[in-house]
Amino acid sequence: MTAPSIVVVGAGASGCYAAQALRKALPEAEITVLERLPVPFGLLRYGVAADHQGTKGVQHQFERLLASQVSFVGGLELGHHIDLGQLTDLFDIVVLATGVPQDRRLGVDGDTLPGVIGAGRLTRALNSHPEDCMIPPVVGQRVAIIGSGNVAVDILRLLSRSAEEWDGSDMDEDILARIIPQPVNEIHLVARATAEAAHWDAAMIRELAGLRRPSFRLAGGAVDPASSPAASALFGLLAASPQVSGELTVNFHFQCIVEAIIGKDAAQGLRIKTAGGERRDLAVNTVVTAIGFDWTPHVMTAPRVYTTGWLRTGPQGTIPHQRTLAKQVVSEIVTDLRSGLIATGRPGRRALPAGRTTNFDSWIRIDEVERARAAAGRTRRKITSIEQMYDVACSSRSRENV
Amino acid sequence: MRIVILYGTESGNAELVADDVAEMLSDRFDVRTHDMSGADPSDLSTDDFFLVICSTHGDGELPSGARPFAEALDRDQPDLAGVRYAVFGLGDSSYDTYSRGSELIDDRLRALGAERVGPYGRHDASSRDVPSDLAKQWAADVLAALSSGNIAQ
Repeated sequence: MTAPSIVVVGAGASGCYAAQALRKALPEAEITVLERLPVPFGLLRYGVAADHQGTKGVQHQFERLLASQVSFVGGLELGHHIDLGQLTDLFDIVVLATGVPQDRRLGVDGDTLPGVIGAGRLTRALNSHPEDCMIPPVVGQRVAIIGSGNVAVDILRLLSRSAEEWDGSDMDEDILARIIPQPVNEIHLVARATAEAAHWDAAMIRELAGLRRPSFRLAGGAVDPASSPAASALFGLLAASPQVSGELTVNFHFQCIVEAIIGKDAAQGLRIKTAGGERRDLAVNTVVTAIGFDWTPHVMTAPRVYTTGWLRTGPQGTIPHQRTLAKQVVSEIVTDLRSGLIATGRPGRRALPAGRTTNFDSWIRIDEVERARAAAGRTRRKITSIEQMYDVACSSRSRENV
Repeated sequence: MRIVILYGTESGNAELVADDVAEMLSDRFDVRTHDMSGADPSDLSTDDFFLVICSTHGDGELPSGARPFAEALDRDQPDLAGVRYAVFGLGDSSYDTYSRGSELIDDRLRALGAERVGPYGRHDASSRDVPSDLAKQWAADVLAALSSGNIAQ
Protein backbone atom coordinates (compact mmCIF):
# COMPACT_ATOMS: atom_id res chain seq x y z
CA MET A 1 0.00 0.00 0.00
CA THR A 2 1.48 3.33 -0.99
CA ALA A 3 1.41 6.08 1.59
CA PRO A 4 -1.97 7.84 1.44
CA SER A 5 -2.56 11.35 0.16
CA ILE A 6 -4.61 13.26 2.73
CA VAL A 7 -6.22 16.69 2.70
CA VAL A 8 -7.52 18.50 5.77
CA VAL A 9 -9.97 21.27 4.88
CA GLY A 10 -9.67 24.13 7.35
CA ALA A 11 -6.53 25.40 9.10
CA GLY A 12 -8.13 26.34 12.40
CA ALA A 13 -7.48 24.49 15.65
CA SER A 14 -9.48 21.40 14.71
CA GLY A 15 -7.84 21.08 11.28
CA CYS A 16 -4.34 21.66 12.64
CA TYR A 17 -4.77 19.14 15.43
CA ALA A 18 -6.09 16.65 12.87
CA ALA A 19 -3.04 17.24 10.65
CA GLN A 20 -0.78 16.90 13.69
CA ALA A 21 -2.34 13.60 14.75
CA LEU A 22 -2.26 12.34 11.15
CA ARG A 23 1.45 13.16 10.86
CA LYS A 24 2.21 11.28 14.07
CA ALA A 25 0.17 8.25 13.07
CA LEU A 26 1.21 8.18 9.40
CA PRO A 27 4.79 9.44 9.06
CA GLU A 28 4.88 8.65 5.33
CA ALA A 29 1.54 10.17 4.31
CA GLU A 30 1.33 13.28 2.14
CA ILE A 31 -0.69 15.71 4.23
CA THR A 32 -2.04 19.03 2.95
CA VAL A 33 -4.03 21.55 4.99
CA LEU A 34 -6.32 23.70 2.84
CA GLU A 35 -7.69 27.02 4.02
CA ARG A 36 -10.00 29.41 2.23
CA LEU A 37 -8.39 32.52 3.72
CA PRO A 38 -4.81 33.37 2.75
CA VAL A 39 -3.84 32.97 6.42
CA PRO A 40 -4.22 29.94 8.69
CA PHE A 41 -5.43 29.53 12.28
CA GLY A 42 -9.16 30.14 12.04
CA LEU A 43 -10.74 31.06 15.38
CA LEU A 44 -7.35 31.15 17.10
CA ARG A 45 -6.77 34.30 15.10
CA TYR A 46 -10.33 35.52 14.61
CA GLY A 47 -12.23 34.13 17.59
CA VAL A 48 -9.99 34.14 20.67
CA ALA A 49 -10.15 37.68 22.07
CA ALA A 50 -7.43 40.25 21.42
CA ASP A 51 -6.78 40.55 25.16
CA HIS A 52 -6.38 36.77 25.62
CA GLN A 53 -3.02 36.36 23.91
CA GLY A 54 -2.06 33.49 26.25
CA THR A 55 -4.86 31.36 24.81
CA LYS A 56 -3.38 31.84 21.34
CA GLY A 57 -0.21 30.07 22.53
CA VAL A 58 -1.16 26.82 20.76
CA GLN A 59 -0.37 28.65 17.54
CA HIS A 60 3.33 27.86 18.14
CA GLN A 61 2.65 24.16 17.77
CA PHE A 62 0.67 24.72 14.62
CA GLU A 63 3.34 26.95 13.12
CA ARG A 64 5.86 24.15 13.63
CA LEU A 65 3.48 21.72 12.05
CA LEU A 66 2.68 23.83 8.99
CA ALA A 67 6.29 24.95 8.57
CA SER A 68 7.87 21.57 8.16
CA GLN A 69 5.62 18.60 8.90
CA VAL A 70 2.67 19.09 6.57
CA SER A 71 1.88 21.45 3.66
CA PHE A 72 -0.31 24.53 3.93
CA VAL A 73 -2.27 25.89 0.97
CA GLY A 74 -4.23 29.08 1.63
CA GLY A 75 -6.69 30.85 -0.63
CA LEU A 76 -8.39 27.69 -1.85
CA GLU A 77 -12.05 27.34 -0.92
CA LEU A 78 -14.07 24.15 -0.82
CA GLY A 79 -17.35 24.83 -2.56
CA HIS A 80 -15.86 27.63 -4.60
CA HIS A 81 -12.54 26.67 -6.22
CA ILE A 82 -13.11 22.95 -5.83
CA ASP A 83 -15.93 20.67 -4.73
CA LEU A 84 -15.95 17.67 -2.44
CA GLY A 85 -16.25 15.20 -5.30
CA GLN A 86 -13.11 16.61 -6.91
CA LEU A 87 -11.26 16.49 -3.59
CA THR A 88 -12.12 12.83 -3.11
CA ASP A 89 -10.87 12.14 -6.64
CA LEU A 90 -7.55 13.83 -5.90
CA PHE A 91 -6.93 12.65 -2.34
CA ASP A 92 -7.23 9.22 -0.75
CA ILE A 93 -8.59 10.73 2.46
CA VAL A 94 -10.46 13.99 3.09
CA VAL A 95 -10.91 15.44 6.58
CA LEU A 96 -13.36 18.32 6.84
CA ALA A 97 -12.62 20.80 9.64
CA THR A 98 -14.49 23.82 8.37
CA GLY A 99 -16.19 24.80 11.61
CA VAL A 100 -19.59 26.40 12.20
CA PRO A 101 -19.28 30.08 11.39
CA GLN A 102 -22.89 31.26 11.20
CA ASP A 103 -24.40 32.86 14.32
CA ARG A 104 -27.72 31.39 15.45
CA ARG A 105 -30.65 33.74 15.12
CA LEU A 106 -32.74 34.57 18.18
CA GLY A 107 -35.94 33.61 16.42
CA VAL A 108 -38.05 36.46 17.76
CA ASP A 109 -39.67 39.50 16.13
CA GLY A 110 -37.12 42.13 15.25
CA ASP A 111 -34.14 39.76 15.28
CA THR A 112 -32.89 40.99 11.90
CA LEU A 113 -33.18 44.72 12.65
CA PRO A 114 -30.04 46.83 12.24
CA GLY A 115 -28.37 46.91 15.62
CA VAL A 116 -28.80 43.16 16.21
CA ILE A 117 -25.34 41.64 15.90
CA GLY A 118 -24.25 38.02 16.21
CA ALA A 119 -21.39 37.52 18.67
CA GLY A 120 -19.44 35.49 16.12
CA ARG A 121 -19.58 38.33 13.65
CA LEU A 122 -18.76 40.94 16.28
CA THR A 123 -15.83 38.87 17.54
CA ARG A 124 -14.45 38.45 14.02
CA ALA A 125 -14.78 42.19 13.35
CA LEU A 126 -13.07 43.06 16.65
CA ASN A 127 -10.32 40.64 15.60
CA SER A 128 -9.85 42.44 12.26
CA HIS A 129 -11.30 39.71 10.03
CA PRO A 130 -11.08 41.04 6.45
CA GLU A 131 -14.63 40.05 5.56
CA ASP A 132 -16.23 41.47 8.72
CA CYS A 133 -14.16 44.67 8.67
CA MET A 134 -15.35 45.78 5.24
CA ILE A 135 -18.68 46.92 6.64
CA PRO A 136 -18.08 46.52 10.36
CA PRO A 137 -20.94 46.21 12.83
CA VAL A 138 -21.44 49.36 14.93
CA VAL A 139 -22.10 49.11 18.65
CA GLY A 140 -24.17 51.82 20.33
CA GLN A 141 -23.92 53.16 23.85
CA ARG A 142 -26.68 51.01 25.35
CA VAL A 143 -26.13 47.34 24.69
CA ALA A 144 -27.87 44.07 25.50
CA ILE A 145 -25.83 40.86 25.37
CA ILE A 146 -27.87 37.70 25.23
CA GLY A 147 -26.24 34.51 26.46
CA SER A 148 -24.48 32.98 29.44
CA GLY A 149 -21.38 31.36 27.97
CA ASN A 150 -17.76 32.44 27.66
CA VAL A 151 -18.51 34.22 24.38
CA ALA A 152 -21.01 36.48 26.16
CA VAL A 153 -18.40 37.32 28.80
CA ASP A 154 -15.77 37.97 26.10
CA ILE A 155 -18.10 40.49 24.45
CA LEU A 156 -18.94 42.08 27.81
CA ARG A 157 -15.26 42.45 28.65
CA LEU A 158 -14.23 43.76 25.24
CA LEU A 159 -17.01 46.37 25.22
CA SER A 160 -16.03 47.48 28.73
CA ARG A 161 -12.31 48.06 28.26
CA SER A 162 -11.16 51.67 28.33
CA ALA A 163 -8.67 52.99 25.79
CA GLU A 164 -5.77 52.58 28.23
CA GLU A 165 -6.53 48.95 29.03
CA TRP A 166 -5.41 47.24 25.81
CA ASP A 167 -1.71 46.89 26.54
CA GLY A 168 -0.26 43.57 25.44
CA SER A 169 -3.23 42.83 23.19
CA ASP A 170 -3.47 42.91 19.41
CA MET A 171 -6.53 45.15 19.30
CA ASP A 172 -6.48 47.55 16.33
CA GLU A 173 -7.40 51.06 17.53
CA ASP A 174 -8.88 52.14 14.20
CA ILE A 175 -11.09 49.06 13.89
CA LEU A 176 -12.17 49.45 17.51
CA ALA A 177 -13.12 53.09 16.93
CA ARG A 178 -15.23 52.14 13.92
CA ILE A 179 -17.01 49.38 15.83
CA ILE A 180 -17.40 51.30 19.11
CA PRO A 181 -17.43 55.00 18.12
CA GLN A 182 -18.75 56.14 21.52
CA PRO A 183 -17.93 54.52 24.88
CA VAL A 184 -20.58 52.03 25.93
CA ASN A 185 -22.30 53.26 29.11
CA GLU A 186 -24.93 50.63 29.76
CA ILE A 187 -24.81 46.87 29.26
CA HIS A 188 -27.61 44.43 30.06
CA LEU A 189 -26.52 40.83 30.10
CA VAL A 190 -29.66 38.72 29.58
CA ALA A 191 -29.51 34.99 30.28
CA ARG A 192 -32.07 32.24 30.23
CA ALA A 193 -29.98 30.37 32.80
CA THR A 194 -29.90 30.94 36.54
CA ALA A 195 -26.77 32.51 38.03
CA GLU A 196 -25.92 29.05 39.36
CA ALA A 197 -26.20 27.31 36.00
CA ALA A 198 -24.61 29.99 33.81
CA HIS A 199 -22.27 28.32 31.35
CA TRP A 200 -19.35 30.72 31.66
CA ASP A 201 -16.14 29.76 33.45
CA ALA A 202 -15.72 31.25 36.92
CA ALA A 203 -12.29 32.56 35.89
CA MET A 204 -13.85 34.60 33.08
CA ILE A 205 -16.19 36.31 35.59
CA ARG A 206 -13.36 36.97 38.04
CA GLU A 207 -11.35 38.57 35.24
CA LEU A 208 -14.03 41.30 34.96
CA ALA A 209 -13.04 42.66 38.37
CA GLY A 210 -9.85 44.04 36.81
CA LEU A 211 -11.74 46.42 34.51
CA ARG A 212 -11.77 50.10 35.41
CA ARG A 213 -15.05 51.32 33.92
CA PRO A 214 -17.87 49.00 34.89
CA SER A 215 -19.95 48.68 38.04
CA PHE A 216 -21.93 45.46 38.23
CA ARG A 217 -25.57 45.12 39.29
CA LEU A 218 -28.00 42.31 39.66
CA ALA A 219 -31.39 43.11 38.14
CA GLY A 220 -33.55 41.13 40.52
CA GLY A 221 -33.11 37.77 42.19
CA ALA A 222 -30.23 36.65 44.33
CA VAL A 223 -26.93 34.90 43.77
CA ASP A 224 -25.96 32.12 46.17
CA PRO A 225 -22.15 31.90 46.27
CA ALA A 226 -22.29 28.33 47.51
CA SER A 227 -24.39 27.06 44.63
CA SER A 228 -21.69 26.79 41.94
CA PRO A 229 -18.22 28.11 41.04
CA ALA A 230 -19.80 30.46 38.48
CA ALA A 231 -22.23 31.82 41.07
CA SER A 232 -19.42 32.21 43.59
CA ALA A 233 -17.38 34.21 41.09
CA LEU A 234 -20.36 36.42 40.26
CA PHE A 235 -21.11 36.98 43.93
CA GLY A 236 -17.53 38.13 44.44
CA LEU A 237 -17.75 40.46 41.46
CA LEU A 238 -21.00 42.02 42.71
CA ALA A 239 -19.71 42.32 46.26
CA ALA A 240 -16.58 44.18 45.18
CA SER A 241 -18.37 46.42 42.72
CA PRO A 242 -18.45 50.17 43.53
CA GLN A 243 -21.69 51.37 45.11
CA VAL A 244 -21.88 54.47 42.96
CA SER A 245 -22.29 53.72 39.26
CA GLY A 246 -19.64 55.31 37.15
CA GLU A 247 -19.14 55.43 33.42
CA LEU A 248 -20.57 52.01 32.66
CA THR A 249 -23.26 50.00 34.43
CA VAL A 250 -23.50 46.29 33.75
CA ASN A 251 -26.80 44.68 34.75
CA PHE A 252 -27.18 40.91 34.99
CA HIS A 253 -30.66 39.58 34.21
CA PHE A 254 -30.95 35.87 34.96
CA GLN A 255 -33.80 33.51 34.12
CA CYS A 256 -35.10 35.91 31.50
CA ILE A 257 -36.52 35.05 28.11
CA VAL A 258 -36.21 37.36 25.13
CA GLU A 259 -39.64 38.07 23.64
CA ALA A 260 -38.89 40.62 20.95
CA ILE A 261 -36.60 43.33 19.72
CA ILE A 262 -38.50 46.57 19.48
CA GLY A 263 -37.87 49.12 16.78
CA LYS A 264 -38.99 50.20 13.35
CA ASP A 265 -35.88 50.80 11.29
CA ALA A 266 -33.36 49.80 13.92
CA ALA A 267 -33.21 48.14 17.32
CA GLN A 268 -34.48 50.51 20.01
CA GLY A 269 -35.34 48.16 22.80
CA LEU A 270 -35.33 44.59 24.05
CA ARG A 271 -38.47 43.08 25.54
CA ILE A 272 -37.75 40.35 28.08
CA LYS A 273 -39.88 38.27 30.41
CA THR A 274 -38.55 37.45 33.87
CA ALA A 275 -38.96 34.21 35.78
CA GLY A 276 -41.79 35.81 37.72
CA GLY A 277 -43.67 36.54 34.50
CA GLU A 278 -42.97 40.27 34.55
CA ARG A 279 -42.29 41.99 31.24
CA ARG A 280 -39.39 44.40 31.05
CA ASP A 281 -38.41 46.67 28.19
CA LEU A 282 -34.72 47.51 28.12
CA ALA A 283 -33.89 50.66 26.20
CA VAL A 284 -30.93 49.49 24.15
CA ASN A 285 -29.81 50.27 20.62
CA THR A 286 -27.55 47.28 20.17
CA VAL A 287 -28.39 43.63 20.82
CA VAL A 288 -25.49 41.17 20.68
CA THR A 289 -26.61 37.56 20.50
CA ALA A 290 -24.15 35.12 22.04
CA ILE A 291 -26.41 32.09 21.76
CA GLY A 292 -24.27 29.74 19.76
CA PHE A 293 -23.88 28.95 16.10
CA ASP A 294 -26.13 27.43 13.46
CA TRP A 295 -25.41 23.72 13.14
CA THR A 296 -27.43 20.71 12.20
CA PRO A 297 -26.07 17.22 12.81
CA HIS A 298 -25.10 15.59 9.55
CA VAL A 299 -23.87 12.08 9.29
CA MET A 300 -21.03 11.96 6.79
CA THR A 301 -21.71 8.98 4.58
CA ALA A 302 -19.29 9.72 1.74
CA PRO A 303 -16.53 7.14 1.79
CA ARG A 304 -13.02 8.35 2.65
CA VAL A 305 -14.46 11.63 4.00
CA TYR A 306 -14.18 12.33 7.72
CA THR A 307 -15.20 15.29 9.85
CA THR A 308 -13.69 16.81 12.95
CA GLY A 309 -14.14 19.87 15.13
CA TRP A 310 -17.37 21.78 15.48
CA LEU A 311 -18.49 20.60 12.05
CA ARG A 312 -18.67 17.12 13.55
CA THR A 313 -19.77 17.77 17.12
CA GLY A 314 -21.66 21.03 16.98
CA PRO A 315 -20.32 24.41 18.12
CA GLN A 316 -19.18 23.48 21.60
CA GLY A 317 -15.80 22.25 22.62
CA THR A 318 -12.73 24.23 23.60
CA ILE A 319 -9.34 24.25 21.92
CA PRO A 320 -7.95 21.35 24.01
CA HIS A 321 -11.05 19.34 23.21
CA GLN A 322 -10.15 19.54 19.53
CA ARG A 323 -6.87 17.81 20.27
CA THR A 324 -8.62 14.83 21.87
CA LEU A 325 -11.21 14.71 19.12
CA ALA A 326 -8.54 14.78 16.41
CA LYS A 327 -6.80 11.77 17.93
CA GLN A 328 -10.09 9.90 17.94
CA VAL A 329 -10.88 10.73 14.32
CA VAL A 330 -7.35 9.82 13.22
CA SER A 331 -7.59 6.51 15.00
CA GLU A 332 -10.74 5.80 12.94
CA ILE A 333 -8.85 6.73 9.78
CA VAL A 334 -5.92 4.48 10.67
CA THR A 335 -8.28 1.60 11.40
CA ASP A 336 -9.97 2.06 8.02
CA LEU A 337 -6.59 2.20 6.27
CA ARG A 338 -5.34 -0.94 8.00
CA SER A 339 -8.50 -2.85 7.24
CA GLY A 340 -7.91 -2.26 3.54
CA LEU A 341 -11.09 -0.21 3.17
CA ILE A 342 -9.18 2.59 1.47
CA ALA A 343 -7.18 2.06 -1.70
CA THR A 344 -4.36 4.57 -1.86
CA GLY A 345 -2.44 6.10 -4.73
CA ARG A 346 -4.47 9.17 -5.67
CA PRO A 347 -2.29 12.09 -6.81
CA GLY A 348 -2.85 14.48 -3.89
CA ARG A 349 -1.54 18.01 -3.64
CA ARG A 350 0.14 18.24 -7.05
CA ALA A 351 -3.22 17.77 -8.73
CA LEU A 352 -4.93 20.68 -6.97
CA PRO A 353 -6.26 23.32 -9.38
CA ALA A 354 -3.87 26.14 -10.19
CA GLY A 355 -4.78 29.54 -8.86
CA ARG A 356 -3.70 32.31 -6.54
CA THR A 357 -2.77 30.55 -3.33
CA THR A 358 -0.52 31.10 -0.34
CA ASN A 359 1.83 28.76 1.52
CA PHE A 360 3.46 28.82 4.93
CA ASP A 361 6.20 31.22 3.79
CA SER A 362 3.40 33.64 2.97
CA TRP A 363 2.24 33.41 6.57
CA ILE A 364 5.77 34.08 7.83
CA ARG A 365 5.89 37.28 5.76
CA ILE A 366 2.39 38.39 6.78
CA ASP A 367 3.22 37.66 10.41
CA GLU A 368 6.44 39.73 10.21
CA VAL A 369 4.61 42.66 8.65
CA GLU A 370 1.81 42.52 11.23
CA ARG A 371 4.24 42.48 14.13
CA ALA A 372 6.39 45.22 12.63
CA ARG A 373 3.44 47.56 12.13
CA ALA A 374 2.08 47.04 15.64
CA ALA A 375 1.21 50.22 17.52
CA ALA A 376 2.89 50.87 20.87
CA GLY A 377 1.67 48.38 23.48
CA ARG A 378 0.25 45.99 20.89
CA THR A 379 1.66 42.66 19.76
CA ARG A 380 0.65 43.09 16.14
CA ARG A 381 -1.63 44.99 13.80
CA LYS A 382 -3.47 42.57 11.56
CA ILE A 383 -3.76 43.11 7.83
CA THR A 384 -7.44 43.67 7.17
CA SER A 385 -7.62 43.23 3.41
CA ILE A 386 -7.36 39.97 1.51
CA GLU A 387 -5.64 41.78 -1.36
CA GLN A 388 -3.04 43.22 0.95
CA MET A 389 -2.40 39.75 2.37
CA TYR A 390 -1.64 38.50 -1.14
CA ASP A 391 0.55 41.53 -1.82
CA VAL A 392 2.64 40.78 1.25
CA ALA A 393 2.67 37.04 0.51
CA CYS A 394 4.02 37.62 -2.98
CA SER A 395 6.51 40.34 -2.13
CA SER A 396 10.14 39.31 -2.27
CA ARG A 397 11.88 38.91 1.02
CA SER A 398 13.78 41.93 2.33
CA ARG A 399 16.80 39.73 2.79
CA GLU A 400 17.28 37.43 -0.16
CA ASN A 401 19.59 34.55 0.48
CA VAL A 402 22.23 34.53 -2.24
CA MET B 1 21.10 6.85 34.01
CA ARG B 2 18.23 7.43 31.68
CA ILE B 3 16.31 10.70 31.48
CA VAL B 4 12.57 10.34 31.23
CA ILE B 5 10.55 13.43 30.38
CA LEU B 6 7.06 13.04 31.78
CA TYR B 7 4.63 15.58 30.36
CA GLY B 8 1.09 16.51 31.37
CA THR B 9 -0.72 18.43 28.66
CA GLU B 10 -4.13 19.78 27.80
CA SER B 11 -3.67 21.48 24.45
CA GLY B 12 -0.32 20.04 23.39
CA ASN B 13 1.92 22.87 24.60
CA ALA B 14 3.63 20.80 27.30
CA GLU B 15 4.16 17.98 24.81
CA LEU B 16 5.85 20.35 22.38
CA VAL B 17 8.10 21.61 25.18
CA ALA B 18 8.88 18.01 26.18
CA ASP B 19 9.83 17.12 22.61
CA ASP B 20 12.09 20.16 22.37
CA VAL B 21 13.87 19.40 25.63
CA ALA B 22 14.27 15.77 24.53
CA GLU B 23 15.78 16.83 21.26
CA MET B 24 18.25 19.12 23.04
CA LEU B 25 19.39 16.32 25.35
CA SER B 26 19.31 13.44 22.90
CA ASP B 27 22.86 13.77 21.64
CA ARG B 28 24.28 13.47 25.15
CA PHE B 29 21.84 11.33 27.07
CA ASP B 30 19.54 8.36 26.72
CA VAL B 31 16.30 10.33 26.87
CA ARG B 32 12.71 9.53 26.15
CA THR B 33 9.39 11.35 26.52
CA HIS B 34 6.33 9.85 28.12
CA ASP B 35 2.79 11.22 28.20
CA MET B 36 1.41 11.21 31.76
CA SER B 37 -1.92 10.10 30.38
CA GLY B 38 -0.35 6.72 29.70
CA ALA B 39 2.09 6.63 32.58
CA ASP B 40 1.93 4.29 35.54
CA PRO B 41 3.53 5.01 38.95
CA SER B 42 5.37 1.70 38.62
CA ASP B 43 7.27 3.38 35.75
CA LEU B 44 8.94 5.63 38.32
CA SER B 45 12.26 3.84 38.74
CA THR B 46 15.23 4.93 40.83
CA ASP B 47 17.45 4.26 37.78
CA ASP B 48 15.91 7.13 35.84
CA PHE B 49 15.89 10.87 36.34
CA PHE B 50 12.49 12.45 35.66
CA LEU B 51 11.93 15.82 34.07
CA VAL B 52 8.29 16.63 34.81
CA ILE B 53 6.74 19.17 32.45
CA CYS B 54 3.15 20.00 33.28
CA SER B 55 0.67 22.69 32.31
CA THR B 56 -2.26 24.12 34.26
CA HIS B 57 -5.87 23.92 33.22
CA GLY B 58 -8.76 26.20 34.07
CA ASP B 59 -8.73 27.23 37.73
CA GLY B 60 -5.32 25.91 38.75
CA GLU B 61 -6.21 22.33 37.95
CA LEU B 62 -4.32 19.47 36.40
CA PRO B 63 -4.47 19.23 32.63
CA SER B 64 -6.52 16.27 31.44
CA GLY B 65 -3.35 14.49 30.31
CA ALA B 66 -2.00 14.48 33.87
CA ARG B 67 -5.11 13.38 35.67
CA PRO B 68 -4.81 9.60 35.17
CA PHE B 69 -1.26 9.71 36.52
CA ALA B 70 -2.23 11.80 39.56
CA GLU B 71 -5.16 9.49 40.26
CA ALA B 72 -2.90 6.45 40.00
CA LEU B 73 -0.42 8.00 42.45
CA ASP B 74 -3.26 8.69 44.90
CA ARG B 75 -4.66 5.20 44.51
CA ASP B 76 -1.45 3.14 44.54
CA GLN B 77 0.56 5.30 47.00
CA PRO B 78 3.89 3.87 45.73
CA ASP B 79 7.04 4.28 47.80
CA LEU B 80 9.11 6.71 45.76
CA ALA B 81 12.17 6.86 48.02
CA GLY B 82 15.22 7.21 45.80
CA VAL B 83 13.28 8.58 42.85
CA ARG B 84 14.65 11.95 41.72
CA TYR B 85 12.84 14.51 39.55
CA ALA B 86 12.65 18.15 38.52
CA VAL B 87 9.57 20.23 37.61
CA PHE B 88 8.78 22.75 34.90
CA GLY B 89 5.29 24.26 35.10
CA LEU B 90 3.35 26.06 32.39
CA GLY B 91 0.74 28.55 33.46
CA ASP B 92 -0.75 32.00 32.99
CA SER B 93 -0.03 34.74 35.54
CA SER B 94 -3.35 36.41 34.77
CA TYR B 95 -4.81 33.65 36.97
CA ASP B 96 -4.24 33.66 40.77
CA THR B 97 -3.53 29.95 40.53
CA TYR B 98 -0.48 30.52 38.33
CA SER B 99 1.12 27.24 37.22
CA ARG B 100 -0.64 25.38 40.00
CA GLY B 101 -1.14 22.34 37.76
CA SER B 102 2.53 21.36 37.98
CA GLU B 103 2.49 21.89 41.76
CA LEU B 104 -0.26 19.30 42.09
CA ILE B 105 2.12 16.71 40.65
CA ASP B 106 5.12 18.02 42.63
CA ASP B 107 3.14 17.82 45.90
CA ARG B 108 2.21 14.19 45.24
CA LEU B 109 5.69 13.04 44.26
CA ARG B 110 7.27 14.65 47.31
CA ALA B 111 4.61 13.27 49.65
CA LEU B 112 5.48 9.79 48.39
CA GLY B 113 9.16 10.22 49.16
CA ALA B 114 10.62 11.33 45.82
CA GLU B 115 13.31 14.02 45.82
CA ARG B 116 13.06 17.17 43.72
CA VAL B 117 16.34 18.38 42.26
CA GLY B 118 17.31 21.74 40.82
CA PRO B 119 15.28 24.88 40.11
CA TYR B 120 11.49 24.84 39.67
CA GLY B 121 10.97 26.12 36.14
CA ARG B 122 7.95 28.19 35.14
CA HIS B 123 6.61 29.62 31.91
CA ASP B 124 4.01 32.39 31.90
CA ALA B 125 1.64 32.37 28.91
CA SER B 126 1.08 36.08 29.49
CA SER B 127 4.76 36.79 28.84
CA ARG B 128 6.39 36.92 25.44
CA ASP B 129 8.81 34.15 26.35
CA VAL B 130 8.90 31.05 24.21
CA PRO B 131 8.12 28.09 26.49
CA SER B 132 10.69 25.75 24.96
CA ASP B 133 13.49 28.31 25.34
CA LEU B 134 12.83 28.62 29.06
CA ALA B 135 12.43 24.87 29.45
CA LYS B 136 15.71 24.10 27.70
CA GLN B 137 17.52 26.52 30.00
CA TRP B 138 15.81 24.95 32.99
CA ALA B 139 16.78 21.45 31.87
CA ALA B 140 20.40 22.54 31.55
CA ASP B 141 20.30 24.10 35.04
CA VAL B 142 18.71 20.99 36.48
CA LEU B 143 21.34 18.69 35.02
CA ALA B 144 24.07 20.99 36.30
CA ALA B 145 22.52 20.80 39.77
CA LEU B 146 22.26 17.03 39.48
CA SER B 147 25.87 16.57 38.52
CA SER B 148 27.16 18.89 41.22
CA GLY B 149 25.09 17.10 43.83
CA ASN B 150 22.88 20.08 44.74
CA ILE B 151 19.46 19.28 46.11
CA ALA B 152 16.19 21.12 45.45
CA GLN B 153 16.32 24.91 45.26
